[in-house]
Formats: sequence, C-alpha cells, structure tokens
Amino acid sequence: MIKQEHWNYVVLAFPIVLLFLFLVYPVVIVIISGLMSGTGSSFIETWSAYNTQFTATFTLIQASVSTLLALLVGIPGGLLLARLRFRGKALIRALIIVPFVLPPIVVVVGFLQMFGSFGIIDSFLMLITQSPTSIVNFAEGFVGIILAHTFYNAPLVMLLVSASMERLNPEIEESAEILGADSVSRFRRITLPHILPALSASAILTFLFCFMSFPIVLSLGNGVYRTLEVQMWNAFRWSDYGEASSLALVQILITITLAITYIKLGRVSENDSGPTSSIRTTRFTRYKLQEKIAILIYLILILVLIGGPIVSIIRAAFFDPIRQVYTLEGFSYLFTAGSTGGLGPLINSLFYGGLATLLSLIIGIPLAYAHRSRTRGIPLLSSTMVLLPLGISSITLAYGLMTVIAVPTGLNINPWPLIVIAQTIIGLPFTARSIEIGLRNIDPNILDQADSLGASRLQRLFFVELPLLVPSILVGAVFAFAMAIGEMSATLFIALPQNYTLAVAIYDNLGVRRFVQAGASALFLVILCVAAFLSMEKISEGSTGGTL
Amino acid sequence: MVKIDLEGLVREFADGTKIGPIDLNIRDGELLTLLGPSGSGKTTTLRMIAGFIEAEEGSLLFDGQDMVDIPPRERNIGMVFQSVALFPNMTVYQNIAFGPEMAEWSHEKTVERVEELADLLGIRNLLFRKVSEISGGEAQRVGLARALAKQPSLLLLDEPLSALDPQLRERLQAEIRRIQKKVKVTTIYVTHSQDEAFAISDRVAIINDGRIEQVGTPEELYDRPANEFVAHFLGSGNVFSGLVAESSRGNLKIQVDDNWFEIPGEGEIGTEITFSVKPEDVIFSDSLQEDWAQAELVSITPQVGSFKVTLDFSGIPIIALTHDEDLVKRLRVNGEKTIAFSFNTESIIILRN
Repeated sequence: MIKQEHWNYVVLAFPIVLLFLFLVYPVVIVIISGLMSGTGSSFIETWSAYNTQFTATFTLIQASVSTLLALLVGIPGGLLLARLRFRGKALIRALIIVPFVLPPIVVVVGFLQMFGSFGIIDSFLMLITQSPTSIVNFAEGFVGIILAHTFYNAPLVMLLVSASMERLNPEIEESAEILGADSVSRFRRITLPHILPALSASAILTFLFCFMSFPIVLSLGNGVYRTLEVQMWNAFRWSDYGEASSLALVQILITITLAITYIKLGRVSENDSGPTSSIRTTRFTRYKLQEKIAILIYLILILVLIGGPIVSIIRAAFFDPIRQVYTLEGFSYLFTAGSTGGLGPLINSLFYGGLATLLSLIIGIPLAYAHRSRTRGIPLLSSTMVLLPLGISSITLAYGLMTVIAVPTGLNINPWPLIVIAQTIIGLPFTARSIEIGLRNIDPNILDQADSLGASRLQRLFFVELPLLVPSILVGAVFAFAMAIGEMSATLFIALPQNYTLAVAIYDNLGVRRFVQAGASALFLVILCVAAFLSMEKISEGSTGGTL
Repeated sequence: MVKIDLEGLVREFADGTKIGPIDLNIRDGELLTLLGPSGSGKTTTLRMIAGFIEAEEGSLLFDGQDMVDIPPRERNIGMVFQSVALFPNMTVYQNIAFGPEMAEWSHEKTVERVEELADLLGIRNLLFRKVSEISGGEAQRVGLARALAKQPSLLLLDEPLSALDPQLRERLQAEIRRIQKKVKVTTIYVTHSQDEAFAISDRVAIINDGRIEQVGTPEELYDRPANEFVAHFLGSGNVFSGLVAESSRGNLKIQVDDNWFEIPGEGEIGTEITFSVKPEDVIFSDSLQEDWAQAELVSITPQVGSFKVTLDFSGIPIIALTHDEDLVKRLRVNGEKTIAFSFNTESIIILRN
C-alpha cells in the first residue's frame, strides 16, 4: 500500500517537475539574468524610451478596443445561438469554435485576402468603380489588427455566453414574465446578471489573448504597430537582452494578474451553474419583422467578418494577386522538397505537432489526476502549473527556453526539441482541462462499483476509468495538435530555417510576397484543423466548448 | 377573484402527443387540482392557462373574456414552479418585490405588501437573505409570496412541493390551503400525488392522456369513480368485469369467471358490466363461507389503524382493508393461503366505459 502511494506521488509529480523545469525555471532565470547582466538597455532606459511607451500604450488600447468589439459582436451571437431554434445548430456550434483554433497566421492570410488590397472586397469595389488601383485596405494597420482580433475572440464570447444562457433555468425567466416583466426588463434584471460572470470571463480572456497577440500584430502592423510581445522579439533579435527582460517582466505581471482573475471568475460561475439545459428556444419565423431584419443583418455581418476570411483562404490558395492569375503553384510548392519548397516545413509541422500532442497527453493525464487528488496542496499546484502558460506569453517562454536551456546545452545548433516543448506547454491548458472535465464527469459510483466488484486499482484504471476518459483524451489530443501546428510565435522565435513549420513558412512567404504559396499552406492548415475539430465534435458530442 | 373556463382547449406537439380537447370550469375563489399520472398533460394544461404554451384550438375564458392571444405577463397570474425558480441574483425581498416593481407600484405600497406577505408566510426574518442562503421549504414560501405579491386574480401552482420531504410537504400543504382561503384567490394546483390533491383541494380534476376523466370533490371521486381509470388511479376501487347472468328488481347477478356476485343495479342479461368495490367494503374470512368467492392471500401490510390485505383472485388483484386484528393474527399464524371473500353490496359502483 505504501509503495502504491509512492508511485502515486511519482506519477503526479513528474509533470509538475517537467513544467517547472521547462516553464518556470527558464522564464524566471531569463528575466533575472537579463535585468542583472546588463547587456543592452536597463529597465529604466527601456521604460523611459518613447518607443516602449508607445508600444505599451498601443498594446493596451488595441486590446481594450478589440475586447469591446469582440463583446459587441459576440453577445448577440451568443444570445441567438442559445435562443434561436434551427436545424444544424450542433454543426454551427461546432464550427464556431473553429476560428478560435485556427492558426493566427492563417487568419492573417484570410484577412489579407478578404479585406486587404486586391482582396475580395477590394476587387469587388474596383470592379464597380472600374478603378485600376486598389481602393480599400482594411486588413492592415490598426483597423486590420482590431478586426482580426475580433474575428478570433467574438466566437469565444458567443460560446461562453450561449453556454451560460443554457444554464439559466427557463422557469426563472417564466417567473419574471408572469410577474409582468417585459423582454427588456427580463434581460436587464434576470438574464444579464446571470450571464455577467461568463461575460467578464470572456472579456478577460479576450483581453489577455489580444494583449499577448504576436503573429497578427507582427504581420498586419507593418512594423509601425507593435505589441510588447513583438517588441520583445525585436529586442532579442538585436541581442538587447536587458530590454527583452524588462519588457517580459512588466508583461508577465499584467498577464498573470489577468489569468488569475479569469480563473477566479471561472470558479464563481461554475458554482453558480444549474443543471437545467431545457432552455426555451424560438423558431426564426416566430420573431417580429424588425427582429428578423436585425437578425439577418447580424448574420450577414458575421458571415463577412468571420466566415469571409475563412472562405477567402480558398481564394488565397489559388489566386496570385501580383500576376492577377489563378494558379496551382501554391500546391506544387507544398510538395516540393528542398530549401525553397514547402515539403520540409510540412513534415516539420506534422512531426513536431505529433510529438507535442503525445507529450501533452503524457503530461496532461497525470496533471488532470493531480487536479483531483485529495492530498492537500497538490490540486492547487497542478492547476497553477496547467494555467501558467495562459499567463506567460509564447515569446517570453521561447525567450526563456532559448537563453536558459538551449545555449548552455548546445541545443541552439538545432533547437527542434525546444519547439516541441514550447508547443506542448502552450497547448497544455486546453488539453489538461478537457481531460479534467472528462474526469470530473465520471460518476464516482461507477468507480466504487468497480471497487466493490473486486477490481484492483490498476484494473480499475485500465478497464473502467481510461475507457470512460477516451473521448476527453481524444478531444485533448486534437486541441494539442491544433495548437501545435498553428503555433507560430514561439516556433518563429526558436526555429532556425531547417526547423521552419508550415505556420512559420506562411509568415516567411508573406514577407517575400509569395502569396499563393502562403495561401495554399494556410488552406492546408485550415483543412487539417476543421477536419480534426469536426471529428472531435463527433466524439465528444458537443462538449468541446467547456474546454475554454 | 376570477372564474376560469376552458372550452375545448387543444394542443398537439410535434412528437404526436396531443392534449385535449379539455373542458373545465374553475369557480371563483376555489382551489382546483389537476391530478394525473406523469405525462398525462397536467403541466401542459397549466402552461396553456398561463400562456407559455399556445393553445391551437378552443378558448380560455377569464370571467368570460378570451385570453388566448394575451401574453402571460398581462394575464395577471401568479405562478409557483416546481423548481421554485427564485431569481438567484436577488435577495428574498427583491424576489417578492419584483412583481409590484414591474407593475410600477409606489415604493411604500410595495414595502407594505412585501411585509404583509412575509408575515402571512412567516418569512419576515429571511427578507434580506440571499436566495442561496435559504432552505427548500423557505424557498417554497418565498416563491408563494412572490407569486401573490401583486395580487393576482389567478394562482397557478405546478407541483410546488414535490421536491420536499414528506413532513415538510404536509405542513406546507396546510399552509397553502390556509393562505389560499385567506386571500381567496382562484387557484389551480398541479400534482401527481393523490394525498396532496385530496388534502388541499376544493375540487379535483383527474386528467389522463390529455383529457379530463372526472371532476369532483375528493369525496365524490372516492365514493363514485366515474370509470375504471379513476377507480384504479385513486386506488379506491377493486374493479371487476363480468357478464350479467340474472337481473331482477334492481339486483344483478354477475358472473366473473366461475363466481357469481350479487350487486345492486340495472342491466340486460348477457351484457358485460364493470363495477368497483372500495377496499373497506371487501369482507373476507379464513373459514369457508357459502356463496363467497375464493382468493389467494398475497400480503398483509399494517397501516395506521388498519391492515391492508392484498388478495389474488384468479389474476385480478384485490385490495381489502380490515380492522380485525384477530383475523390477521390467525391468517399469519396458520399460513393459510386460500381465503373466502365477499362484498358489502351497498356501496358498489357500476362504472361506465
């Protein structure tokens, strides 16, 4: 028995030790040594520079505006998703999560194609006005960054809001109705207070993502607009470690605070949730005319803003805006080996992604168990470890890994293992959480039943628990894989040219204006992500939203 | 306060279940219970009256005025749901004051009304608690106070007590009854518990398969079930079917299997007749009796003040009540399996089919 306990601790401690070694230790050391060693600018120099202040202000402003816009676009969608009864709702719900897991760099491709110069909207306007030159370009600069962030986060708001709405006992609203509350006061007095925790949670999460945004700002910001994340990367490239660490310190303080607030809020709303899911739904035809018009306008807006960029990726894969022709060169690139071909990055993506997936499961499963451990302190420790990546930006992580791990061990000659580690850590909150949810949903009576029937602990684990967990583990695996193949920030930071993944290659191709190649690669990633998520939705029967 | 008439109310659902046509009259100020097994359409009927479910045919009259097209919030109804559905983000006071606030009562009047109801229901000490800090029984009282706050003309109660433990349920039944009599609000109560319905109601409507089977006071229903379903459902009847063998001067001899029973009534020889005998009118004995039928003893269950004896009469279960302790003791000791039984014939009811 005592031996078994020991094993327990080893199994539970191993992921925590790994995360400490590859996440906490490098980040802490790199910040301290960067600030102390004095190569480059000091903390004061960094933060008194106009450049830094501009970047910091821009980071905050764009995150606030993006959050506001994401809420504005997302809330009506969440309400509609909960309230409107229509066919294929399950499919729409599954699709809504897709933007959230699309690689940011793929979204950049879609945005350039939809809203950029010579993009779909621009071409249409050019056709109407018979203009030979580009008319509009919403894809770049401040507007482009905001729109792309909205694209990303509005679906998140929709999912969280609709999930919260569905936990509202319909009898509560009926009570209000029968007591004389019209729809406005019902929303204000009953529905809004109910969804408020979900709203704040999604607002904080959105703010956090936008605050740490790297690929979108890097690609759409034209070098003028930079987040702290982008400037940190720049500083590292110019070997100004003092500046990089100074930026990292401030950023990490803000992001960790936000992450903790998010987790606290999440806990509150979890306790609040009722078991009811029999929400009252209404068919479209039952709405009044003005309401119908409003809903239609909203749907068109969503289609343009969120559907548009995804569909545009298809055009981006075939249409070369420079020569104004449709071509298959993008796809032949994907299967060309050698330094100019996409086959190497493609193989890298799949290889690293596969390894990262495997690694996240190996770490994620014990972590989920640790989360439910009855020993004092372990659940807190493990949940902190799982959620830390949420509060530590990809660039900070990569910066730590490169400086503290790669240089002393000589891995910087070929740092591919670090890419796998970074991708694993970045996807881990989602993987571990989906497994943990699965674990929580197992009826403890079933396990007691297994015990009473004489199963040993291992038998119980392998014949009862793990089979029941398989759907959640698969969901976690898909999340890990999607995160890994889409990860660009840390990967770009760490990778040498021979380590480029498809996501990095897309950025590279955009930079040298090889648009079709970027488009075809993006399309490939989209198809991979969508296929993975649709199959996952089948496995988990619609419970993926909970992972967020 | 208001008189309710349901005339031919029909609602069909996409899955094929059909409720109605329902005809039902609820008198001003009475408490009428809709009683029926689960899935019989009680709650649907109640929700049609509230306006949450639209009736497809028929009319719903409040004091003669058709309400079908009027939204729930304008029907001046109070309702208590099974889950009570208190607003979780508000205090007890805010919950009760919600209705008056929506009706834009003055602040003084609202406070006065809330305090009056709080006193009536004995929840004054809870007024400033959060909803999550009160017990199930207290929540029911708050729910009732909230429903009554803006003086509705009709009160609807949808199985409000079914989640509570039996003792608390009985206490609250009495309380609901007392308060309903006091405020004289016309009330429709839905339950699947016969005890609850009989304890609380002026009249009970038995509903089955989307139709009203019988409406009457508890005594009427118990003594004179209109049909087999009601007799079975209320447990008030042992139901037998047989052919009329002889008929003379208001007496019938009915053949059930190979036994003959004499019951009062009229009928033509050769027709099939169903009749119901209340458990307390079944008499039985452990010694053989002439002209009595025979049945197998299944079980004896002690109850308050009596014993419930279950017999098996060639496949038909018979419930009998007896106060004869000696007889029960003898039955238990002897392990006698076959016993003789007969009926007190005065209270036998011939059921219509």
